[in-house]
Amino acid sequence: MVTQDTFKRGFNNGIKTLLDLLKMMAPIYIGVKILSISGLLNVIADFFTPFMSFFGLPGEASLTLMIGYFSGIYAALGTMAVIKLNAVQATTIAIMVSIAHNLISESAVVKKLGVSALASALARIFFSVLFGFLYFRIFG
Amino acid sequence: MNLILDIFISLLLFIWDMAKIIIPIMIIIEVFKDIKLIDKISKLLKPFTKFFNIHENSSISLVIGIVFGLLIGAGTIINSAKQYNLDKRSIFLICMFLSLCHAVIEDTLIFAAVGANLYMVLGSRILAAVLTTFVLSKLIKPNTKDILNNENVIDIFEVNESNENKSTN
Repeated sequence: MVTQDTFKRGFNNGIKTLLDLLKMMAPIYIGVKILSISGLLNVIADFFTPFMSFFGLPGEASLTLMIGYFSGIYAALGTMAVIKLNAVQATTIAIMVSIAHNLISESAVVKKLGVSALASALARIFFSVLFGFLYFRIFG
Repeated sequence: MNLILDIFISLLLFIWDMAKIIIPIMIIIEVFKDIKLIDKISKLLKPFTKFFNIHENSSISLVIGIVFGLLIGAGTIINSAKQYNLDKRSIFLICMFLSLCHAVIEDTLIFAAVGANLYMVLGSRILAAVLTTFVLSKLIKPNTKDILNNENVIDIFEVNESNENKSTN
């Protein structure tokens, strides 16, 4: 049964989730913003540019990818909001991060179920790179 | 000072963008729970569990994982592993599927909010998960190593037999 209570619960869950996420996202957002203003982001970006151009992405997007891999989707979004990307680039990085993200903690979850964490992480990185590359080659 | 204000304002806008997505999602999920749509979806997924030759009752974990995320999915896997005696092979295959494809509603919409193509993001995740699980389900036969370490031999044989009967018919 859908009652008013359903919506109230949903709204409360939404606020709760938002607050949880903010605790994580806000520091990263501010951190990346400072990196960007200080020019340090450009140094990092330049270093990764050859690798990222493989996916048609600007060097700055390497930060999104690395933070996404190690930290998670929301952290990656914090960086994406700062970097200017076109539609194809945004989709490429979204595909890559949505397939492989939060690898450390999510592999730990998988490990708890008695499944190889390495198998899970490797499969994710493999498809992340493969599909990112394919999307850019086909649509870019 | 201006710089700090600038960061603060853009952060607030970012929070607002997130709130616009997360709060409706949570409401929709609660509605889904209350109209028992989750149960209906897991019934629809029965052919899917047959396709990978995994335990029928694992479809609930699969649906919950796909909708709510890996952590909640893992919770239901542990729960149904106890309830239905899920074999190790099924747990492994579900975990591999879910590690590639989980929390798809939330994740996909959030990436769409920053300008990504919704269908491409969702499609590639599902494709990656199905490919991985399919290949692994062919590589790992139900009645090999698992059975030696698993008490639930009957379960696995039953699944095999019912599949063989169908194919011969």
